[in-house]
Amino acid sequence: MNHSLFSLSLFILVPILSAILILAAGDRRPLLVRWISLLANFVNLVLALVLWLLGAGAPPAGSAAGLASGSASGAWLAVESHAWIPSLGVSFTLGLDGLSLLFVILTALMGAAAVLASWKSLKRKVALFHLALALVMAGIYGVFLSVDLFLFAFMWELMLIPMYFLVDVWGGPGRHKASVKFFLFSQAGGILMFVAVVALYVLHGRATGVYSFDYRVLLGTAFGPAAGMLLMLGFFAAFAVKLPVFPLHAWLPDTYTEAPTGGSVLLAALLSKTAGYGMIRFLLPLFPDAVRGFAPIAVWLGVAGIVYGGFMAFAQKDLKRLVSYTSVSHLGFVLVGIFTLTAQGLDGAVIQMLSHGIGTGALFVLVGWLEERSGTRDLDRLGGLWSKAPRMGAFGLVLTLGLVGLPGLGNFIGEFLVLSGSFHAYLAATIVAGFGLVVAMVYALRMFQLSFHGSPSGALTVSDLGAPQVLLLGVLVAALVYLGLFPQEVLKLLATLGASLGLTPGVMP
Amino acid sequence: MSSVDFLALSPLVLAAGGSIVVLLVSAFAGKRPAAPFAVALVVLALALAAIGLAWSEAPRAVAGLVEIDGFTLFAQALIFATAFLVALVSYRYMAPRSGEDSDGESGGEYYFLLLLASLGASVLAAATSFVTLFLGLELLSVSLFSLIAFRREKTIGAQAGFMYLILAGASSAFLLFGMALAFMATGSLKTADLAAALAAGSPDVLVLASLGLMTVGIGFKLAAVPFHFWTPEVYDAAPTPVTAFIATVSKGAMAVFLVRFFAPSGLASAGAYPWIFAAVAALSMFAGNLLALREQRIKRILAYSSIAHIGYLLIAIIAGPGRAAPTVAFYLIAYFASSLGAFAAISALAEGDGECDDLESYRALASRRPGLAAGLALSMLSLAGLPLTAGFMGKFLIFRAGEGAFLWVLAVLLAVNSTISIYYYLKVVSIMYSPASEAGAAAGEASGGASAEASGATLSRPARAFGPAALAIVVAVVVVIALGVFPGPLIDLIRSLTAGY
Repeated sequence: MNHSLFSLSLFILVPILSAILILAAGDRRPLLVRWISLLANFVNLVLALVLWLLGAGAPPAGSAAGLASGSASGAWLAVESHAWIPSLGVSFTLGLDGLSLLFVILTALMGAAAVLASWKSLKRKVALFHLALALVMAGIYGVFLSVDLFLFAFMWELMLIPMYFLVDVWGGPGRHKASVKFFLFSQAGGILMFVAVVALYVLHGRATGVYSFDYRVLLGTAFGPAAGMLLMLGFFAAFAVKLPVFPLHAWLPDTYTEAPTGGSVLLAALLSKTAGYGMIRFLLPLFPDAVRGFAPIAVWLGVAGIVYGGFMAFAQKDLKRLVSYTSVSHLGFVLVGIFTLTAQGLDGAVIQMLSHGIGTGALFVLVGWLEERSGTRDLDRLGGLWSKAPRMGAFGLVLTLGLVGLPGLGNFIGEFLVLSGSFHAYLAATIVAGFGLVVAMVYALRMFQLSFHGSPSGALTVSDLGAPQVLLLGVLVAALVYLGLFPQEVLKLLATLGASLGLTPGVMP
Repeated sequence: MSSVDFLALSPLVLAAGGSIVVLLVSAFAGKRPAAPFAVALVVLALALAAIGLAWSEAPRAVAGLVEIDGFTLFAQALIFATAFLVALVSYRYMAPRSGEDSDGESGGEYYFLLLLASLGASVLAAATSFVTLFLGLELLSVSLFSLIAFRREKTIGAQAGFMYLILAGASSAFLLFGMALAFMATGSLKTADLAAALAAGSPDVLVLASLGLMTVGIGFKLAAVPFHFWTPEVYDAAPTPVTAFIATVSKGAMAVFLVRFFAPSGLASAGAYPWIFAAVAALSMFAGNLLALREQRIKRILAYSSIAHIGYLLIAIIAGPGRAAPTVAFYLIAYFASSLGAFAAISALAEGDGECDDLESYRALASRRPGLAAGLALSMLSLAGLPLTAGFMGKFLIFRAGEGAFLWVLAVLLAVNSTISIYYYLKVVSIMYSPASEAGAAAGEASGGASAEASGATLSRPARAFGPAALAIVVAVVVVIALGVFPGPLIDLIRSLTAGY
């Protein structure tokens, strides 16, 4: 494939360019601002899809194989490198392989969804909102594309700042506390990772004399078990906060709930995925030994998240908060899948991340519209919406079934692969996690029953979705169904991921 | 002294001579503050230009008192440039005051004192002898306590000036006694001889005692814990541009001296000293950041934040030969630019006699004065060390400098502290970008922003014309962003300047 005409930094430049245009358009022309914002996401979506179609013709990406061997850029679909701080070995290096391609597509898709979800509901400081949105997007693309660890850590912290503003300026009544909590948790994790990145760089430099942050150079750095474990934990801290992993999830319900709809979509659909992506891309290959030692703990933390999130979701009265807790539960599967250290588990984790991103993102969009139309998210006041808004109800039903893990939708594939990957090594954990699926059934049906069924409460007037909204949710549901019916198309892109990381295939011996 | 020596000293000579000119001009300027202000700017610009002249003679040791090398000239350039910006910020801030109680005064002695203080800091940054150390330090201190108490009509300013006078005097006494002991132990006033005595291994008790006493004096100037108690009071009471000067130049010059002092041997050989410095660094970080959390006045927040930043800087100083100088140099620029941006914005908001100090008065600043709010926010984010700003790169270099196993602990503590600090920096940013009142926000949400706009409009004042302070903010912000995005060229320059360290 010849990508000479194409530049990966376009993915980052397009949102930044749109940010400048938005700034120029200003608050007085909100409609223009919205269109610019949407168009930027659309351009990136088209770019990503074109790359996917082109890449599909190529042999299975083999990206990861090239990665692990630290070989030249041939294994990547595309690599782009510019000097940044040459004297310190920092470069602006972006790379795209099957794994990052999937997440780039997800980012563009859900970015557009975030813009559309805020189309009508967001009225205050529209330009500033879309400016922040565009900058978060730029940071997220940066995270998914960075090959240079310095750049990765830089982008990792960069996406926090506009995200903080999104919650703090446009959020719900408890936004100040929520945004600060979110920022402090994320910053604590991020800066520990940054220390670990610099430490890794120094250790490698002292051992070999080559001071570089390039991930391909740093692979295979040798260090003692204690140093390896400490560095691994530094990275893990950042990812564990962002995913989130069970005891570090405290910021999540507040932040997801208080954020404006567009912000919730980005947080749930994309920011949590940066953590899972970071674990697969960096944690596993850089610290194989430490990860192996830590895996049982991580798996059990994941299981704890699955069960805890499920129970908490069941107890919520606020629809948005309920959806937030389901995220804790679903992202627990991602952690379990990754740390089973089997190819199946890893594939499952990726599918789970994609379907959670699309499904839960869509659910947040739907809840946002519901609140916009009815003025409440309280499950006690909602009810009987199906008769008033059947289209909303239909989408609500499909997305709820996605939460449950109905076959035919992406979540089923993800959860199934994760559990079959963990079955041999962690039988007990698999059983408890399977129990989490039962809990999911309970909270999902309760949620649907209380909001869409039952006797309609007279006070509520709800208008149904219009054509543009139906189109957006339709596309997202179609993507979910695609993941559920043709997971092979996605898994093809990850074909050699497991093997390259030296993992067991995870099938019966 | 030869004529070449004079060339090497030309920035100092110009600053000293220029300060006299400023004093003379202000005597004849009547009530026009513009004349001494303009002369001071010209003097500072000339001194900056003279750095180029001195560079042609560097490195050169003059009379065993000062060392003019790349690092010194870098520090002096930084000091004069900062003084230039502080003068810009001062013009509007000081002008109405000198107008009011004008007994035919132009307020020109303010700029005289500012020049003297910069001169003192420049001498301190070049000192290789206890004589020049003391000379520079006293020149700096004496000018500073006059500057702190410059607004005579305010009791609080006089109080703070007096406090600074007494504490500076006491700490000078410690320093002097330390010097006396050093002279007794080594028979020399050269700082290098004391450092050599330390490095010789098992230094005798006189040497250790002398270093201990001097640490008190140095710690006071740096406002490192446990010598930091004066900081919040003085920062709060001093005129804001003076606060900016104390936070940057006065501390930076001392940090440069410390780097030079420990450069030949490093701290590592000095017995328990690395541990003492490490403890001071850790305490400064924690005390500064934790005390800042509950503050509601922005200048006090910045005071505590500066204590924490000295803690970060000490990590780089401990890092030892080869790493300390470039890291400190870069961090100083980053910290100077961010602090100046913040203090310049605060000065620009001061009206008449009223200081804009309470955090509440910053509410919704973004809708009243968006440019100023953006500048202040960016400075805060840089102080917090977030990406795209100079602060992030500064922190990165400190992490990198902390290679040794012993310093990793400090690096992790720095990471923890930088998280704590986010809270209060964000508090400032958040309040500037919140709506005028929470009720207004709710109403604005409901009625499509109309009422929020309206309430914003009633509060808004006509934005003032683009003044000298705004220029200072713009310069600071440009430096902050430029270093945050492309630090490469500066890092290379600093490396070549500090090659001998």
